[in-house]
Amino acid sequence: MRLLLIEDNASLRDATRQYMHEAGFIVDTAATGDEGLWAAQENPYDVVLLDLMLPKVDGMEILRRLRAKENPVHILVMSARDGLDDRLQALDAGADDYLVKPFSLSEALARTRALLRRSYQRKNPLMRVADLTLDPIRRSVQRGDAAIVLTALEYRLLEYLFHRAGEVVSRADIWEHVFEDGTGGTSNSIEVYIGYLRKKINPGGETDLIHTKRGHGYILEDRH
Amino acid sequence: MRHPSIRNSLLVRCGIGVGALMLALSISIYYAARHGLYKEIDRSIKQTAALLGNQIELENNELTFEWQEGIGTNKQLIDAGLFQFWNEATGEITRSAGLRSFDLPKFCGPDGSPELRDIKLPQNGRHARAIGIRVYPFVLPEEMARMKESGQLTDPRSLPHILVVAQDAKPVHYVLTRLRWILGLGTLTTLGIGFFLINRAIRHSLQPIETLSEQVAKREGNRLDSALELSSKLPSELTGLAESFDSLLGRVASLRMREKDFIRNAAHELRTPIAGLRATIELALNRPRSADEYQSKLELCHSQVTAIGELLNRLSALARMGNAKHLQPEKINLTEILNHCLQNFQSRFDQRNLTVTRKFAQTPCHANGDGTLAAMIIKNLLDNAACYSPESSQIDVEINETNDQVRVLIQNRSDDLPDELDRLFEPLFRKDSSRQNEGSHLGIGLSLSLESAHAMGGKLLAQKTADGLIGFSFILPSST
Repeated sequence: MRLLLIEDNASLRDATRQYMHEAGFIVDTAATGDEGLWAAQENPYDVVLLDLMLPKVDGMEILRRLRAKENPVHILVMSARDGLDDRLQALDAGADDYLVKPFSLSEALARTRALLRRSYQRKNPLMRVADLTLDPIRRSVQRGDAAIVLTALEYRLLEYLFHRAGEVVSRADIWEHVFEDGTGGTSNSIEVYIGYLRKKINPGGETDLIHTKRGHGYILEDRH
Repeated sequence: MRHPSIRNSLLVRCGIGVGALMLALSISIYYAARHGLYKEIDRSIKQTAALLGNQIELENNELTFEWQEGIGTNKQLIDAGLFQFWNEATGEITRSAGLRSFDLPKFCGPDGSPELRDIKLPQNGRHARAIGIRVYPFVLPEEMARMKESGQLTDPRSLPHILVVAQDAKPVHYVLTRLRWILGLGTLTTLGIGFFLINRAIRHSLQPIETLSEQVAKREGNRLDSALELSSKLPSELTGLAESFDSLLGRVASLRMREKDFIRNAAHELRTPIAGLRATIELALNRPRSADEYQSKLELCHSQVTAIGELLNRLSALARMGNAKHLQPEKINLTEILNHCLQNFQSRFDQRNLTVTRKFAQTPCHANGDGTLAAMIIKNLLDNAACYSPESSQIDVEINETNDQVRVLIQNRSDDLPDELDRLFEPLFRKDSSRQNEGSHLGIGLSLSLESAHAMGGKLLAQKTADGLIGFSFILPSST
């Protein structure tokens, strides 16, 4: 899951970025409004965390421009403005949620997860396909009763497949939403990590739930 | 403390005025009527007195009262008359028949001149009008000739009489008594009605004041500074007062709004660094970390707390500056301070490729002020210029001295200026929601600089030109 954090306060930006990253997200950051707007327009983020008072282009303007171009990304506004009018204005301009500073990072994380569920039209935070379950809050995976230990990247990959369970997920989408920039991944990396995942979630030769659709991508579903 | 009442004051003054007027009018009416009514009686008793005075004659050296003979056309008048003679030489008294044995009061004017009086008749105590006069016997010419022939010449002035003639005035007195009552009651009634009408008129006149007062008194706590609802029927005398009051309320509302803005902006400014601090602490505590990581987070927290402390220091400095009574000015070299500040900012200017043009000679310009405050103001102006000037643009710096003041001008290009430049000096004012620069620009530098300039007896002015330049003039009194 890839987030975009647009915040001009360096300490808040760094702390939020690290916290979200430790929670399993890929986090891109922008310190100014124009940088953030450009990044949001050019990349398919799952959620944008947006401050309102920004240099050069303010947050409200970013909201308006993204929505004017029918950008469907979910936007969580994080602002020091605590007035009802400010909140209404932001929500009416296209924000999906509003968080008043100073906020708890755990709340920001929970709201981000809620927006992700909304993105993929899910209500239950616990995700399940056949006997494979993924708990995004505990960041744990189980096959039946057996816990499966995954690396951060493997977990992100599986979580993304879970979010889009039942539909074909293209390599490009996986690349955009799972792999971090500058991590040295190659075009072969996706196949490699899919292979790792298959081995880990099918330790005793259980039914494979990750299916390859040649020329299109991968699909997580129970075909039985 | 009890305050004087306009209504009571007006009532008392109007009451005294109307009362005095009514009293004067009543007295005038009474005396005019009295004079008119007594005029006829007085004329009558004067005529009678004149007739009787002529009917005392000296004949054969003896006094005769011709009226006793009952002759002539005045018989009826004399028969019904009330009069009395006193012979002042002998004390002999002669009365008219109407008096029977009663005596009229004996009087006359000074030197025997006629005098009119109100008297009571002795026989029945009724009110009457009387005239008292001194008369002398009348001497016929032939009697005078006879006295001369006989050599027994008697001077009539040696035989004076006091004559008092009276006439019953009961009807007139009755009319005058009634008139006094009528006028008295009329005056009291008029005063009463006048009091009622004046009270109503005053109440009606004061109604708009009471309405305005009620409007102000019943004003809700959250609408204390909203404009008054002025009625179209408001008297012209109150319109100016109400408008002035409204204008005052408008200014109060504006001040309140600015205070609210200041508090909101101050809270707003604090929220973001506190959010950063909280996020950093939460991140550090989120999971066990290495000592180096904790060290790094603590250093970050320290720098954030320092930044919050700086913001609070500036806010409290601004509040203290507002209360500053007086600073002891000293002679300072503004050229030297300006050069020193420019030197400190050179690296900032270089980072953004800004060119500083020094349009001044290096001769010292001395002013009266405080060196620390002056340096703070100049640094703040240079900091703003370094931050808000477009990259690779030019900053002009001037210093000049006139007879009574020294002026430092710092001028730069800026693409984003508010319409009202004065708002730049409002604490935490931002033209729009965009944050131009994090960190040093906390939105109170210019407010603090303005207060500091005022505390030194100087000025800080902002001007903009049509071609997008903004200039700040820092002016101090010259010390030369």
